[in-house]
Amino acid sequence: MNLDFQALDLSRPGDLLVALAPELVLTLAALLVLLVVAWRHRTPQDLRLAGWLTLAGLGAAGFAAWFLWWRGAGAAGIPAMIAVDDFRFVADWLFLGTTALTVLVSFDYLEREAVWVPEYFVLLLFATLGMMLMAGAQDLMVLFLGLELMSIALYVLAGSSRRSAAGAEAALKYFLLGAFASGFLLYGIALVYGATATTNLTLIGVQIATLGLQHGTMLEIGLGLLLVGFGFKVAAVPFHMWAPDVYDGSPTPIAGYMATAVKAAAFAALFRVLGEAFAAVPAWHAIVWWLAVVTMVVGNLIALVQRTLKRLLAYSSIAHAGYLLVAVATGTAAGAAAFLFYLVAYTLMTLAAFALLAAKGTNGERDVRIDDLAGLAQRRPWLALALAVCMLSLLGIPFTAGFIGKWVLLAAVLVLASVISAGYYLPVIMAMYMQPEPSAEAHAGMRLGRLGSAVVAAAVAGLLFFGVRPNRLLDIARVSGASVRVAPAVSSDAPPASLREPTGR
Amino acid sequence: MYAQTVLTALLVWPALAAVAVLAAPVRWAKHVALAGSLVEFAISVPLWWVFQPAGGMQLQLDVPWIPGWGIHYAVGVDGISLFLILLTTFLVPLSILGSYTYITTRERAFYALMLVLTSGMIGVFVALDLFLFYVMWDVMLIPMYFIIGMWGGQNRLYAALKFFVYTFFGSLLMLVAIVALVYLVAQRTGVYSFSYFHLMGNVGELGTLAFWLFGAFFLAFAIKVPIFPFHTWLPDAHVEAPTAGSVILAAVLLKMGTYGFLRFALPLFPRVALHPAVQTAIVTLSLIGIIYGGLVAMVQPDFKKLIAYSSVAHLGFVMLGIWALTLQSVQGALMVMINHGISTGALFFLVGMLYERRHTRQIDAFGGIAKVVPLFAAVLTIVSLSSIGLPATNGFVGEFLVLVGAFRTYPAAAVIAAVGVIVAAMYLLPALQRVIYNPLDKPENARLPDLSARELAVLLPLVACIVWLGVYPAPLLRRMEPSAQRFIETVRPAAGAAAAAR
Amino acid sequence: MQGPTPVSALIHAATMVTAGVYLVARCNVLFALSPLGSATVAGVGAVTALFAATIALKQWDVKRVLAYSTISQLGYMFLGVGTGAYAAGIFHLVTHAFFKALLFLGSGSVIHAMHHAYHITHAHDDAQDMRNMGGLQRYLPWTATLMWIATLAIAGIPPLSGFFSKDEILGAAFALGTAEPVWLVYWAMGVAAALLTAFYMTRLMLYTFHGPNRTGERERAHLHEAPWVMTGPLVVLGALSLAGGVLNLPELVGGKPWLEHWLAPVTALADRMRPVVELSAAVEWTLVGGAVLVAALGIAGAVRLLRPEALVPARLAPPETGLGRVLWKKWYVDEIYDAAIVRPIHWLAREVLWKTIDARLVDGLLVNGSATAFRALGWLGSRLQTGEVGFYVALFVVGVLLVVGAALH
Repeated sequence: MNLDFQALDLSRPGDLLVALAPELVLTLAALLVLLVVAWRHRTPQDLRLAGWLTLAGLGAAGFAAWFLWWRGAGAAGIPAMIAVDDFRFVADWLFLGTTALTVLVSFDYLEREAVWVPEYFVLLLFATLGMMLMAGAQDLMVLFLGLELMSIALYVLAGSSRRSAAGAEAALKYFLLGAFASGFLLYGIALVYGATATTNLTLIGVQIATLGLQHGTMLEIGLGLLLVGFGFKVAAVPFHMWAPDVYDGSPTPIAGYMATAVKAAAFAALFRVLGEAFAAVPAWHAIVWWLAVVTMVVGNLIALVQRTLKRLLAYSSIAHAGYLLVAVATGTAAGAAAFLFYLVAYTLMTLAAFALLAAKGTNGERDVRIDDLAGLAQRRPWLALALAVCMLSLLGIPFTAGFIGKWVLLAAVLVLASVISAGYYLPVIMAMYMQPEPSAEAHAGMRLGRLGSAVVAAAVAGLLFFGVRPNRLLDIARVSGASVRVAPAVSSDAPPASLREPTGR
Repeated sequence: MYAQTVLTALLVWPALAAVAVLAAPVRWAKHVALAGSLVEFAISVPLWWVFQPAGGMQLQLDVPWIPGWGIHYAVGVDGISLFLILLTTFLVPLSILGSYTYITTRERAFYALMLVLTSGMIGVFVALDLFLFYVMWDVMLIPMYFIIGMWGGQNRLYAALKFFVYTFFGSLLMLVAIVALVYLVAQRTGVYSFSYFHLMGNVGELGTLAFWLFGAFFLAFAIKVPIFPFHTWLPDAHVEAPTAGSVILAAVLLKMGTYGFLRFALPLFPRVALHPAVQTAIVTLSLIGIIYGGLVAMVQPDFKKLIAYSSVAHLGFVMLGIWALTLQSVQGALMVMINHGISTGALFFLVGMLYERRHTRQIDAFGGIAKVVPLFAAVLTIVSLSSIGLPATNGFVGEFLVLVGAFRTYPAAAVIAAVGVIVAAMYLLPALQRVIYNPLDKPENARLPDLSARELAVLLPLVACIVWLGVYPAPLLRRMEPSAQRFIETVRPAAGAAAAAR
Repeated sequence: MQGPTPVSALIHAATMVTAGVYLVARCNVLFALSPLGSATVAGVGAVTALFAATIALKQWDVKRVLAYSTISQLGYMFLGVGTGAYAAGIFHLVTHAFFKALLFLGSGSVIHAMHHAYHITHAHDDAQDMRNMGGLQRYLPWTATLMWIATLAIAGIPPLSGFFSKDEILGAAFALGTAEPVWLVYWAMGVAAALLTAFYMTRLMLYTFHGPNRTGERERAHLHEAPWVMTGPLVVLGALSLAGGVLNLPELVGGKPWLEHWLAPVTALADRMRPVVELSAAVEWTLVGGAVLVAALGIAGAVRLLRPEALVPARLAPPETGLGRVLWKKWYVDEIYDAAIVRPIHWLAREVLWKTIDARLVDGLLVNGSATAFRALGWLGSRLQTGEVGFYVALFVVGVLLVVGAALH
């Protein structure tokens, strides 16, 4: 069997399997962990075993993705179900990496909160699988499949702390609202199918160009509904209402996971859909732009009045989703590069912030107020420094990755929104550094285990490194962003030309 | 070798020294910091002789940083920035020495932050790449924010947040303008670059867009200077900051605003800057600053707030001098920048010394202490006279040059500004009298210790500069002159051409 | 004047206060180019001379009398340079330095003696108040004599220096008055001021050195002349006050105006522009005679009208009333300045500029106000987060309608 990585023919089963290698590896890992968990689920050691197995599985899937990237894998002709391009691989690494970090942070958290639910890890793996499918989907049905897989796993994960009423409420709300939004998404898919007779992203683009559907009513309504569905997933205003409540009630590592990986997956999928299928339709640019503006402004404004750290971070992620939507709205290659870079930076800073939050409180950290951080710098200087770096990066101060990210995204409205955001990021720093401790035991219970510390340290180091020397990451972002292409208009009887140029290394 | 690396050394050394401070034992932190800052000063001193006045921008170093976006690490110095660099390296050791007894908690953090701040300040003055400039501009926000917020007075949280958000707002607008400018120039030339020279050479005709870009730059720098009505962060920040923080804030950070006008805002957008409406507005705001700042200073009960408002007044002179665009006025503006740094820095040191003794800054809490602390009273008098602008002190040289130079371009404004000199006397002399000359009616003041050797070591260099620059400012003026001339020649003709075209 | 006496002697007699006269003389070309400017300078000078002289009439503090006398004589100098007779103005500046410094130092000698006496007796009376002096000639003969020389000089009695310098100025004013009447008014003011000068200086001498002594029984024993280090300079200055006129003797009396010739190069340009009007010798002699008469009248009048023996020590003295009070209060000039300028500016700065504009408007409304506005908006937004799923769904649907509507446009 001749395997040409650079031109995989996805109609042949062998090539399709190769193209799906990362997902397949991850599925196997998930099933394996599921089996292990079925037998061993009683002791903390069982939990840890499940966790390490999960990490192994993630690593294997990551290796598979890297292998394909290294060999320059690409699809011949129009890819059928799954895309084979740099964008997918980079996105896959992002998801796998984020999940791995979440798993590391979860070890101590689960023990502390006495959540003896090893299925937690299985669900994480399935969620990651769903994300990978979303980012690599070349077909709207595959995308929906991935989205649902991810969502359902997360609905359960949100309520994984079974003794917590807030967790149950979060899970249920997420499920109800998520199902509601999925309905809109599916209806949008149906309308698009009705207009173009296909669900393949590239072919949709071809059809729109050929049939001149740029302003077709059915298509536009379908597009609008698609945007609504994605808007819910990325928590754009006004579809964001679920996010604060759900983040609040979920276990903190899961909240962090939702804020980073889930958003990243949704954004990746949105980016691909708009870039490949709807590039010729002018309608969505303005809509996404306005969504971005409203999300930025509202997210930042409401964050100003939050007193608990968890809700503050929730609204902060809503605001950052707004920033990312700006990149999506441009639809240009530069926008794609900016988008990927910011996604990486944003993941690092948000995940680290949530990890630090996880160390601070109990009861799912719903009770950690900003004032509770007073004097932390005195007692736990490194933790305070890490959180301060995260805050400053979220704010966009130079020498942090957040600055580079903001800077590539630049827009005037972003400026104003950033200034407002200073009003809530800085009080966190002020509490830690500029206020005295209320009592000597105020921070006695704050514990970040070795693994958690490693995660935070790696994230903060990454933030600072990419803040000073973002070159390599920017290059990767640029190349990957450019790898998402739309098909040129072709007449129906000519054979489709090869769409992929060999990617440079 | 020195020529290539000195500016980078000046930028990087304080950061390294900061690391050393953090690693040192707590008792040694301040000495390590002092040593580091003295080394920094020693590195900078040869610039005085190495610098060629007629050589334009020199001692340059240009290294690609993020080449994909045309960002380089580009540094250089000319007559305009030379003295700001020297002022910075001169004042930082004095500030550190002046903080020996003031800072008693978390010393390592404080001195490390001061050194990082020094890096940032030097970076702003030497940057020739707009991205580097912006990065350094924001970098010096963070240490100052922490310095005010961690070691400041009662109301420090409010003051620190206000300082940060206000300045951050301006700087973010400037960031947008920078990126927009780079993009527009890239459209015209096809080269995407943040280099100062590239942008200056190709900025060309931008039409109404130039107004917005200039406006963004203007706002960022106007907040920093500060120009009325963007000045209200200054009194709070100055009052609440610890002594060393106030000194650095007044002496160096404020100069970044005026430096920004000299280096970026005017050369990049000369037509907008010299548009009649803009000229009128800025000259008016400068005059308001001079008179209003002085009058409000007059009625302040808190000595530090008085000095804070006096900074608004002094920098009004600088803005007037810059906009008048004559050789004398621009040189005068540069001299006022330096002199204000020295005399207002000294004033803040002195008030800090009073505060350390009596834990109050209220003018009415004192009275008649000339008999108790004669040395202190003498130094306070000299420094106050310098701030007022008495001939034979440095203050006179700058203000006189500004007034003489401005008279040619804006005669009415120069006349009003001259009244401002009287206003300066109106706010400083009564305060001086109430503190050191009035009857000694409060027993707490009867046994204050006079200046210690360390405090003298901080003040004497400043007093020496006051006298030296007041009597023999020629060496400075000679080094500034070609750069000032070049600045005027860059800005004036471009504006004139536009006027002719209109 | 509140400063130490030697300081007063230097800066208030001779150097600091004459800076303005020097400025006008040095810029003589500018003033010669502007007849209006020169006339203004002269007018201000004449008014000053008269105004200050009136105030000096009613001051009790020795140094204050001398201070206002200085102001009055400065008025003469300005009158001189205003007429275009720059050399005359400078001449009077020089002679004034001699006799005013002598007067200040002499008064210093007196005050020194009074202080010494009060110090020994631990009295707290004012050592500078003339009402506490009287008959000091007996105790301080040298000082008294030398101060009389200065008094005669300042009054303008020939052949002392002051006579020549003052006469030259008045002559120049009168000369111009023959062409334009306004100068005659100035001249008349100058003459009136001369009368008052003679009067109040004699008053000072009478109250200080003559008549009964009011210092006090115990103090009297301790009053004595100053040491020679203090009286020595007085002698020097006395000699200069006597003979200083030789610097610029007018041709009228057959002398050589050295100073005028020496300054000729400096004032040449101005002199060419404004030729000095020549008076006939007869008119000049008349003026001279008149001046001497006026001076003599002033001195005689003081001697006749004033009653040193009617004075009481300062702490027992009744308060002034009527015109005397106004003069004693310096025509309330300081009070008027305070009420009309100082207080309003302070009020403006404190209430309007600081409290209203800076604190409430710029800082409060614009800066803090915008922060509060954003917070308020945020609070409003946070109210939307009710926790009820149904409400969330409703908002969701609103969003859907907006998005789809936008897509269809």
